[in-house]
Amino acid sequence: MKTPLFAFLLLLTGISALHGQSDDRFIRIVGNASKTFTAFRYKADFTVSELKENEQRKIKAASIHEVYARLIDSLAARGIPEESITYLEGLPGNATGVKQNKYSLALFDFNKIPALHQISLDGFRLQSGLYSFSPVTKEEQQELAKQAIADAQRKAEALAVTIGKTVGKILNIEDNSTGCCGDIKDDNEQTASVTYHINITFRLK
Amino acid sequence: MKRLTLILLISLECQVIMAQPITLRVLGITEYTSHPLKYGYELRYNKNKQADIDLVFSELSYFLDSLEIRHEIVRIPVHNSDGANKALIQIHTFSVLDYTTLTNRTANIGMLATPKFTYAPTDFEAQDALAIAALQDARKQAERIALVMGKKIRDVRYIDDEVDRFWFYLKDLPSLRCRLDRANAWLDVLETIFATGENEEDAERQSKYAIWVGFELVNN
Repeated sequence: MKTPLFAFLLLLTGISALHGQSDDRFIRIVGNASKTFTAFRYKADFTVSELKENEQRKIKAASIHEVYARLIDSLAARGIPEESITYLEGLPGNATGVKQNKYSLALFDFNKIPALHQISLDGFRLQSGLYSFSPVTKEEQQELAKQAIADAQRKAEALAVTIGKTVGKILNIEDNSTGCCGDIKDDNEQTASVTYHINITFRLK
Repeated sequence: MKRLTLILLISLECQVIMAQPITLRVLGITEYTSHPLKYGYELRYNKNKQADIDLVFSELSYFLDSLEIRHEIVRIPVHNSDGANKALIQIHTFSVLDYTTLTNRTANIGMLATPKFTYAPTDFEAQDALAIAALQDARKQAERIALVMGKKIRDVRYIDDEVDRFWFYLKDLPSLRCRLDRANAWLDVLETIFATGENEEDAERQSKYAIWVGFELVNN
């Protein structure tokens, strides 16, 4: 009685062990997508300083407001309105006690950038100039994710065909780029590229 | 009789278990070269007056025109923190030959410049062919190993395109992997610091595409 029962249990264990060995075949692919974004604004920070009399350099004294007014005229001549300027802060005077104000200028017409950089005016100094980008919207991120999935699907099919198999249903998705690309940092370049990566595991049939 | 049945069953089970395929995991690699779209130089000038920068730019344009090579010259305005103007000028050519001409002529006039190569954005679709080549490389490697083991490949169990995390992976010494990663990062930094400048040979980027493949091996 005991032997057949033991034999039966052994057979059952063996079958179970064999069955337990997963026969799932899979293909895991890294899907990539990329999109180039163009800046919407050029932001230049600059300072305006009062001028002290300097006979050697032939500079006449001028208040900070006078220098600012000259700058506004110079900008207007180049088609850049005063409304583009935002006052940031008053800077502490340097060793010579010269007063300075700091401003920011936003340009939306990039054709005017060279004109801005050509302004040569005593008391006016450009400090930095960078392009700004709009944040990547959720819709744009979703579009990138879709493209990454399509990229993975295409590559998986190309590989599967090579080994005489087909790509089945999706078993797993790892989105490595969720929340990756909300903001794009200000940059020297007018365009910026954002990439998106998704790992997708397909059943291999 | 019962005992004989038991022995037969155990023997049969052992045979079935022994006949189970083993999985051989191989990293297939294909090497490829990327060529730049543009070959050029980046020049930086510190000038206090805008007029001086304009002069440099116009002289440079005249010089490039005299070389009679197809070129592009771009001026990017940047600034020092102290407010002094700094001009960044990029010169691009479109062939190795023109780049060599430019290199020789700029060397003659003692111009200091940093090489700058511009590459096309990554073509993801072109990676399919690289992945297939890596898969074929994995197959070749697996066949060689199977032969040594007296087995043959029955099928592909899995393909894994995600390989980054497995580079330099050492199962028994996980901490070493971190050290290697750190060492590699430092090497990159040192390479950047001590780089003596690129030339047209360096412009060709050598890269690798790798893919893990799990093959089922069975007895011959």
